[in-house]
Amino acid sequence: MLAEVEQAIKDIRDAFDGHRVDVEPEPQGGAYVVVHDLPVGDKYVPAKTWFGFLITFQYPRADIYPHFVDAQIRRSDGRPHGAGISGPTQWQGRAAVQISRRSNRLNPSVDTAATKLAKVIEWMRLQ
Amino acid sequence: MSTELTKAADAAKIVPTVTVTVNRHSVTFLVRKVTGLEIKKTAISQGVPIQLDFNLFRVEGVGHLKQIGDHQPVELHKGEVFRAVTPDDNS
Amino acid sequence: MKRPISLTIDELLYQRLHGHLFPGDNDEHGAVIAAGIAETERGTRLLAREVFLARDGIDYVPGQRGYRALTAQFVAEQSDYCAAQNLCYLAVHCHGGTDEVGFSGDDLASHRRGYPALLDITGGGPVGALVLARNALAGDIWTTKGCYELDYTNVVGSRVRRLFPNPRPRPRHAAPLYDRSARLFGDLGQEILTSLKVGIIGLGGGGSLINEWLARLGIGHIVAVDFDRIELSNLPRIVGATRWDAMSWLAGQRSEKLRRLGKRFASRKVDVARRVARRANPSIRFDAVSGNVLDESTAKLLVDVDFLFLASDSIQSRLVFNAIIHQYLIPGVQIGAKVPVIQNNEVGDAFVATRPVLPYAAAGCLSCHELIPASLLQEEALTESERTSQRYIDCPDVVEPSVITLNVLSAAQAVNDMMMIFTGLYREGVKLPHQIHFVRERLMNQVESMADEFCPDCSNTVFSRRARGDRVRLPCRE
Repeated sequence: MLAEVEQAIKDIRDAFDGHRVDVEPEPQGGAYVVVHDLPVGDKYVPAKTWFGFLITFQYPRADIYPHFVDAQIRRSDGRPHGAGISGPTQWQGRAAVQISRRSNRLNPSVDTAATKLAKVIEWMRLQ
Repeated sequence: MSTELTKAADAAKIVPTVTVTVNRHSVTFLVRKVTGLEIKKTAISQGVPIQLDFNLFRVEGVGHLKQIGDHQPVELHKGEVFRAVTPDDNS
Repeated sequence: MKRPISLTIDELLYQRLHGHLFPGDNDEHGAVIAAGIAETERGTRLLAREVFLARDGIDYVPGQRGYRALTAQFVAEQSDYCAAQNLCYLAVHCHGGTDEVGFSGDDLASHRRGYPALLDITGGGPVGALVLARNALAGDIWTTKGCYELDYTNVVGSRVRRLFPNPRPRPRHAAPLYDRSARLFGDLGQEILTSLKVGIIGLGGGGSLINEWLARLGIGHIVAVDFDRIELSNLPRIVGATRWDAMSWLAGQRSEKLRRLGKRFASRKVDVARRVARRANPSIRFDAVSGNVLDESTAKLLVDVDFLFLASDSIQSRLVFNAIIHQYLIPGVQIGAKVPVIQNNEVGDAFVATRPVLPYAAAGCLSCHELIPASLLQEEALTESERTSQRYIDCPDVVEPSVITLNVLSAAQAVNDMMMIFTGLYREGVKLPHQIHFVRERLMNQVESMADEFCPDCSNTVFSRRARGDRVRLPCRE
């Protein structure tokens, strides 16, 4: 795993302290990451889910996109998921829902894998 | 004219719009101060076949383009011409 | 340290330094350059990243042993900065004269006194000194293993100039083969072209044109990088490719097995390029690299070229290209053409792009021009099945339109840019903006330069790669 990717994972562990973080390196130097039991608010049932994503070898220049959450997750008001959330699909052998929040332009000194995950969670909570 | 209609007409007068061209399509904005990304979003919402990751340029005279970054604020003027092209190309 | 040892400095930084050293008062002035370093089989290159000008009477004062000296505080501040940033410390001052320059006895004595300590402070350096006349530059470079003279300095801008400590002998007459070209470039210009090592990433439609023209110009050494093989549909565009190269009788078979066999035994694009280059110039040195510039071992083959062409399709390779340009201070140019096909097979705004990139801010950086979108880097890193399942592409077999005559437009401008840059034919002050040619309107456009002050490639912010050479990693895969 490349040093930049290892640093990204360390940032995630620091930012989401107390949450289990699974890491599976991929052959190009990136890693598949799953952060468990993240709260997405009472608009969803269940209100906690895992978030999975790929950090590629050109991180931090490359975006982290899309994110995946547990396929079981539903809106508590019974409505279907809105734009930007699609599925069900398979991701790394898991049944998942895909969350597509992409950023075309990043500032690598500010935008990290951890901040991107936090923004995606916040976006999901606001849907 | 009813009071409601008069109010609507007044409202229409006090919301000045500005119309520019993006890739030969007219695009109308309700505000003048926008970013490059907002220009692309508005153009897409009005049917211009481009995508958000396209590069945006303001045409400044024949043969001169000024690139407008996604987060760059610009003030729109009536009749300005923009070009948006895909950032990828082939060799 | 491998010889020759050179310094590369961009034109803007050099002008700033030169203006400070030669304000017209015929006095001595001083400065410090913080530089990265690159060591390859072609020698050692010091890469000027920043210049710190010493204020007269404050940082540069009458010396106890020589005429003038940098103050201990100034030296301490700048050497600490170099140590913290893992850069080389180079003290600079000027002498009188124009075309010849050298260190005085006092200068050399001060190096012997001070540089062992500076080597300690900067963690092994190298450290050193430069002395400039108006049109000459000499250097004394110290490492833990010894001290070395600087052989020459390259000033990189829209003209690449080379400075030496003293005047060079007259160039040899150009070979009769190059008589017509040398009438434009002069014997010196032709000699310069012959001495160049030029990299080409991508030997498809655009790159194959560049390759042949470079060989015919008399470029001495080409490094061609492409992982691909010739296909039948390449033949209308790739210079020198034949039906035999494409294994055309197998490519046209109904059997998938036979078609696959054809693909497997088709010629590599770099081998076709080598054949073309050698036909044009039998004495050329040609490195045919069948590899991907995303792999660090392949990218490293390009860090000592004098000029780099990017003629490949991927955004990932743009990131590596832009990194090499700025990290190793190598001028380059990216070319491409796009023929968008929109609804009902209607051809959209077809354009051809030629994008020169010089290694400093506001000089065409592809990152500043938003030509390396983070989202596309992510998408290209996915496996094909991931891309399909994540719905980035509707049809994995989609093939973009491409025509040789459009490739010619950008390739010709790109090679002319390189030729004019190295032969000094561009007039002073000429800028090299990106060009976009909207072919359906027959309209050529120049794009005003953009610079992001926090750019990780071309800026001088602490986290940028500019001029750091071997001391940071290229954005490649393991």
